[in-house]
Amino acid sequence: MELLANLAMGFEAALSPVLLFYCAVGVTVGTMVGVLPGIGPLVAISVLFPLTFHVPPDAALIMLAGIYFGAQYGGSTASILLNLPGTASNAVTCLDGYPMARQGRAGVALFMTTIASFAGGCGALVVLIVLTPVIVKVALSFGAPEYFALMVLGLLAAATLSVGSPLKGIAMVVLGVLLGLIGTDVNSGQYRFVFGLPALADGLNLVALAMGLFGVSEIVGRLVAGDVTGRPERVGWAQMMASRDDMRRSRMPMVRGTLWGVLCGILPGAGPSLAAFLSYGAEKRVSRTPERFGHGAIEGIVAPEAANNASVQAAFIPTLSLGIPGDAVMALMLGALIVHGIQPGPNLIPENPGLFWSLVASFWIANILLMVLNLPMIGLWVRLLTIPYSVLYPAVLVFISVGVYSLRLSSFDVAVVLVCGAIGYAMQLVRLPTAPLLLGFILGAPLEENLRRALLISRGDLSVFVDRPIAATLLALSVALVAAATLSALLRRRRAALALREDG
Amino acid sequence: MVTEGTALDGQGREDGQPAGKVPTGRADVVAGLTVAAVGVAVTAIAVQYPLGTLRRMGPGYLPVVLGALLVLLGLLIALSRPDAGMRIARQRARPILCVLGSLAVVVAVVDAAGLVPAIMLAVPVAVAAEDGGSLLHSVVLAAAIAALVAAIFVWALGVPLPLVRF
Repeated sequence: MELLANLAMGFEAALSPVLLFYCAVGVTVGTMVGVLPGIGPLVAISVLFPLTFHVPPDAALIMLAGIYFGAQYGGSTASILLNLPGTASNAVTCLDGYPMARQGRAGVALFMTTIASFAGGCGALVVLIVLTPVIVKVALSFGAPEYFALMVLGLLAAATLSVGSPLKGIAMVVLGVLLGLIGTDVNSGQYRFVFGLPALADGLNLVALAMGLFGVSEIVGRLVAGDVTGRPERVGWAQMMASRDDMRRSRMPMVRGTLWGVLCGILPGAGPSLAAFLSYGAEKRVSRTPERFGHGAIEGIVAPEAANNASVQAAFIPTLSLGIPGDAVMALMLGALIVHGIQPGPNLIPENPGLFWSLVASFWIANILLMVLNLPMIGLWVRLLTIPYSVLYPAVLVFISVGVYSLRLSSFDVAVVLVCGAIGYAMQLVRLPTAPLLLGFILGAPLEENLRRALLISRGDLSVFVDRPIAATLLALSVALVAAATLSALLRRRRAALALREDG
Repeated sequence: MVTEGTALDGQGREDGQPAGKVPTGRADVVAGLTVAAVGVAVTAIAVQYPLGTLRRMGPGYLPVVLGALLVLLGLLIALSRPDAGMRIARQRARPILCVLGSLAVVVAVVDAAGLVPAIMLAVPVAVAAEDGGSLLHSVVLAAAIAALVAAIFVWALGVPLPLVRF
């Protein structure tokens, strides 16, 4: 069995002390930021991103992935105990998790969400192992027109499937692509949008952009909105014993949640929040006692928790097989690879099989570590909820500036963080989404490169995108996606307008 | 989360809006017109680069196309107002200025004096974003953060950062 041999090779690498260490660091930090409402995985990843420059690429990716996974595990803690989602994708868990805590079943809820996260993660990893090599095999026959079409589809999907207006999402993708073109044009050597600043000749710094857009703007947003305070109750082993009835009720919701999660993880733009929402809705619909939802139904916490963790692990499928990131976190993962000179795309796995299999093995180990971290040590994480935000945010700000500065000892990059932070906060105020902008930024240069190459081969004939069946299908899907999003947005407006008239 | 939780976090939504007032969608007009203005600027700059042909695209080709697209999308946002129910929440200037100000302090100080002085000055500025932060609190916090930064970056990871410059 080739698969087993590969997996064995992966585990051998993943169990080396160095990778194990970075895996442990990642999942610990991830759980921590997941537990703490106010810093999400994206902020933690942007803060720790500069560290990845100084460690080997596989360790870097494992650490970042560990943060993303850990945040999904830890995020349910604050949802259950304080009715505050630790991260956005745990918001649904509040609906039934907090009522469970009020009924004195917080321990059971924490135990079952951890089990659900583990189940979702393992399910998604199986799909990752089976599906990724298949997609790679197909993608290896792709030429420039197919790549261009694939990137267009990925960007439009990310812009239209996420929460909010598709029009705004597309505008931000376009803006992101333009930001990605800043610097020296590889074909002609022409400087573009450099404004006489030599520091911009190599392009805008990805880390500075991400930290400003996500890290700084989020801190500003929280401080303007007011602080988060709360006092959780104590939870120990004794309170965590789930009854046989809880287990029986949770089994199928976990399976269905995992399936929703895998689906949303593969689709660019869908992501863990949507996965959690969809699976909660689906559970409520299939339940024979839907009235229990919202009053502490265990199905209502295990399904979304399985779904969000499955989603973040399945998100690696398009990222690793096609080089198309589905969300901002995956865009940063690709950034970490590019920093180390590894070109994302279908050649990644054939050229670096060791990297892929050690990643897969590390993901598994990360899930196991997270179980260990979350079950016996839950009391510690709960104590973390008492750290005030007034201590956290100055530390995060300093880590952001030092992290960016450490990349090339350039205070210009810190200034970029400042400007991007201001812009990111302004975007938040007028509801322009920041994640599509980052995806556009990452894919901007390769998008232009593949477009140029495709048109060079076809001698400037645009029909190359219609004559090649795969490219044509992908572009047709893009058009359908935009059409569907426009239609549903129009319908929603119509309904909102009707409701408003009835109210008045 | 800023990224995916916009519909969830609730901040800046219709709260704070007097009952019965018709939503204006002013946020969308601001957003759309700004996007359109950026599009105009991008196009104006990009037409100065060689455009090339469809067969051999010059450095200006894609930026001009995307700049024009941005103008179109911006106008569409301003006209269709997709989030008409949302208003720009009332802003307090202090947290915004203090957070951005602490970054500005780092930019201004770090090249001349090194990281530790930059941190010692930036943290009090950041702490001032909130009411009730005493000077002692911010100095102790700054010292603790500076020690942590030195420990992680310089000693654990071995990054040659200039901690103090004379």
